[in-house]
Amino acid sequence: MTRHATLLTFAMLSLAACQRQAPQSPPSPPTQPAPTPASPADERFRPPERGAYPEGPFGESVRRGELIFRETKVYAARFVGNDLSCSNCHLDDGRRADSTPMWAAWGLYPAYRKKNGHVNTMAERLQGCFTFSMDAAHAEAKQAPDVLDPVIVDLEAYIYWLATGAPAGVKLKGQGYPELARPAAAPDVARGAALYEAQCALCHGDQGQGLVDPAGGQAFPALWGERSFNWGAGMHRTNTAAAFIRANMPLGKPNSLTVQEAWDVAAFMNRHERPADPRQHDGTLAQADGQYHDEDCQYGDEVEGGPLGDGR
Amino acid sequence: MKHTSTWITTYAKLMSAVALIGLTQSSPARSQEPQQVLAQRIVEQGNGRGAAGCASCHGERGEGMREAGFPRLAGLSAPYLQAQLLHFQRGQRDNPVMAPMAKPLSAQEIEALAQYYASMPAPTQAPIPEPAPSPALLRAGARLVRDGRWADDIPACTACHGKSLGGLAQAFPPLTGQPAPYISAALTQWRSGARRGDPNDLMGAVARRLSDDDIAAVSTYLSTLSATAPKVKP
Repeated sequence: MTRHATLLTFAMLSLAACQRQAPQSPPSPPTQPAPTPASPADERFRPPERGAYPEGPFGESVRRGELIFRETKVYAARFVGNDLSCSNCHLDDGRRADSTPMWAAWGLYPAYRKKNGHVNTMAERLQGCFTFSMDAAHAEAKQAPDVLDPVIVDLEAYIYWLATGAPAGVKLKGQGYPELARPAAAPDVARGAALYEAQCALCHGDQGQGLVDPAGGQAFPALWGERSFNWGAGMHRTNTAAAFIRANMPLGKPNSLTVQEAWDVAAFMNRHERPADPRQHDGTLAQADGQYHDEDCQYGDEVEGGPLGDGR
Repeated sequence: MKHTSTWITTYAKLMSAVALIGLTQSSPARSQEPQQVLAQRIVEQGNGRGAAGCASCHGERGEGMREAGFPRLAGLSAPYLQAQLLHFQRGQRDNPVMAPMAKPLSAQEIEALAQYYASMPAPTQAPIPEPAPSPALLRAGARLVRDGRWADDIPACTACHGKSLGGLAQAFPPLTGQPAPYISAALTQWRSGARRGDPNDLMGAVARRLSDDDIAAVSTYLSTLSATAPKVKP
């Protein structure tokens, strides 16, 4: 308990002093923050430096977790039904503030989630990523890994390590996405389509198919269609997608789009089909729409050819 | 005199015939082979209208010239090469060396040259500077190139230029096999706006966040990467 109190005090002091910390001799055990350079304007939490892994079996788990996070299709292939990686949306391998960074997520779990109506551990939260964002139903394992599966354990180790020194139960600056205002005009799919062609298609493809790296792997993710996240993933919601896009896209030009533009292009992106919501199979699409989806998504909306959400 | 006028008339007829043959030869319906021949001639001798032979600066095998910082052209994508020549012509790439080389080129010549260099095998040797760069500089460069510095909104170069820096699609060229002075100049020009024409100001936006130290580190590290480096394992 004394060690815990010392750790908490140390962490709080670190945050208060703009991350100025006493130098530690490497290798740092996982409960001590790695030294990070401080800058006057820097009020953000900083995860440990890349490569400064702890020693021993725990450090090896952290390394594996980082690989899984960065190239999920390669290192957790059994559970990935599409071509996405965690790092596609959790930029800079889960480090980038305002891009749902992992160091900010760690201390917010366990938590009640409206999505499934009960308290979730981090492990269950990670399962959700595989079920929805990675579309595990179309993967070899047909479902997310078990909570004790090495994939989940390694990911937890990696996220816990990124959160070294972060206080538990505190919503840190840079957590999630910056709050995005509602647009002045209703999100317009046609305007979004024009913006997509001008600013997004270069990387994400004119059919939203993403781009394959000739050197191996997926360079840019598919945004819709069967190789993308399914209708259960948070990113299918227009408000979530708009907030992510505004703060992070185009890559290298964050916050360059207006609020309206972010909403428009999010509406366009999510106006396309993608794999089915796995929860739908308990009932009809209309039932799933009523039970799991709300006004901020287009699931169940009528388009040419039928309601969105049929999946493929 | 009667003989002179006959001679002149004959000469004029002969020249007209030659000109006519010349006109029909330059009709648009050319086969592939003459394009190759056209490009080869310009590369070796220039186009006779002001564009010098490309090989004199860009190398016999399109490998560039390390010390002078002239870039390799061999193995870059044809649409990218074509765009660069157009940018030199129009001033989107403000380059006092290349502008007079590019301006005398016709659209057909540009296309031929782009195809020619695109089909050349990429050079195997990396244009590593001499003396050998310091390990610290290389480490800093590797970090920026492969991880970026997201705290300053600088993505990894690999994010857009590919895991092996061999390029992605046609818009993101390979960064391998290029001399450090060339990359350094390019980044500096992106940063200042002397070089434009990038889609959506993507390179400009990134370059404007780079310090001089960053540019030195990145260009030095990239120059150690051969264009035919093996596939990078994840």
